[in-house]
Amino acid sequence: MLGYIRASKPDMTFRNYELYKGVYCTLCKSLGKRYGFIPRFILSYDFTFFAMVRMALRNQCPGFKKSRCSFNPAKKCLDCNRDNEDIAYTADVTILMMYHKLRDNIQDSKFFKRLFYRMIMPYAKHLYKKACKRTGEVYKVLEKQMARQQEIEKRNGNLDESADPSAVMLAELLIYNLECADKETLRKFGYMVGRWVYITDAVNDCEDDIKDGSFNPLKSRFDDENFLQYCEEMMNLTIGEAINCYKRLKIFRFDDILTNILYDGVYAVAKKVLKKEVAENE
Amino acid sequence: MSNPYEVLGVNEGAGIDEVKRAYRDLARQYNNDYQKMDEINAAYDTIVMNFGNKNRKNSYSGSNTHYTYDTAASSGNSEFGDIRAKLNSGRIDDAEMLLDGIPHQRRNAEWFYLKGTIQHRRGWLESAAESFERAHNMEPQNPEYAAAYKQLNREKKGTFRKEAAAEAGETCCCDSCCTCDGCDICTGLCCADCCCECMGGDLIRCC
Repeated sequence: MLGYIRASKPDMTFRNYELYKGVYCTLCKSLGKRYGFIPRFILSYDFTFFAMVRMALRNQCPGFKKSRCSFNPAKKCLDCNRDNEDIAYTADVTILMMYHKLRDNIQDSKFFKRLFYRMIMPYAKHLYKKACKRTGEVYKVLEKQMARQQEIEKRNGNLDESADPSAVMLAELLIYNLECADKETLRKFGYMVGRWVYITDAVNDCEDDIKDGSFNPLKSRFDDENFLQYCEEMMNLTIGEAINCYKRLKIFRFDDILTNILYDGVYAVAKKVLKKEVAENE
Repeated sequence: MSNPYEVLGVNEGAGIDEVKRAYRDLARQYNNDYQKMDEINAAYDTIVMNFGNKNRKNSYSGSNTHYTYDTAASSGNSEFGDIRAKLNSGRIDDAEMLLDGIPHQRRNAEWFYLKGTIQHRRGWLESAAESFERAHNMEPQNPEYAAAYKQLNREKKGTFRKEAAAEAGETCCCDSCCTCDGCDICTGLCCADCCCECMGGDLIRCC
């Protein structure tokens, strides 16, 4: 996950923005507490969304209070209860995902970058093992899906196939250890969000992947004149399905923020990614 | 349940062609009314099932149109009916296995519709959209296929966003300005407007 799922700031109220930032801050602090200083830099807004969805489905208040941030001690930000299990779990998930992303990078990148990734690998592995211990069985799902992803990439699967492992991964991570009345809807919601991230990333990287000769499910369509329209349709379709599922879920809090992300934030990111493609094509 | 013949507005002795015609007319009329559509579909299904049981011999020996229709209604339907039942009870893998076992020459519009439904459940949206489109193109009159096709098409175009904005009543000419990057003039104007409003004036009427 690479920061594609974020809120649209102009469409937010100050109050919601503060809450949103508060969750981000807490996550960052939790990462620091559980895994040390360095992993704090890999946190992205995607995980804020992830944590907020989980908190929104629970009928207990996360309990916010004001506290100072070590990066910017002059400023106070909202901070929810640090022992909140969703925050802790999301911090663990961040580490799990980072490790797999790193492994993926080692395979895809060129010599110098690869060397760099190799060098930080032992440290990442150490963190990964720690995170596995803390989260229980869920890392097995990740490893299985990562293997599936490689297999699909090898035989040049279509868009639906290649998006499937990432989507399943997010779905399983999202519902893990969470009590929800409508688990299937939540699973599908997670699936669609994961799928959207995958597709958006594929659109974003398409040009580079073609240059490098790496796998990309959109490669065969890249020269079509309707390429951008096709991408936009696929993104819309996926997020539309996610919204359909979201509407069916029982949400206890953060509804405005999550709606903002799903409708406006995601749209702004999609537009930006597509625009970049346009600029590069011209 | 009310008399299916009454629902479709035909005589009890009506032939299959007449029933079919009445059904199509009604389906076109009540395209958007789901409750009414369910009623019409149920009535149509009941009548067609009865036709299959009672008049099988008749229609097989009847004219060419009867013959083709009846195969679709009895043997075709019963096979797909099984698949539909599996789909309804959530056994997607079983349903797909049965569906894939059907030879190519017998894959009609309903086959593609069911395939699309399975893909949709799995979340394979691109393939689902293609299957629904194919089913819809093969039988444009069928309201079930049309509804599925249109639904995904609407999502593709991103209409849900406009609908949400309309519900919230947000239709301002500046909305389009605010979404563009680095549109400094617009931002400046918006800011100026806000300042003016603070002091009791107004620069841009609609904001």
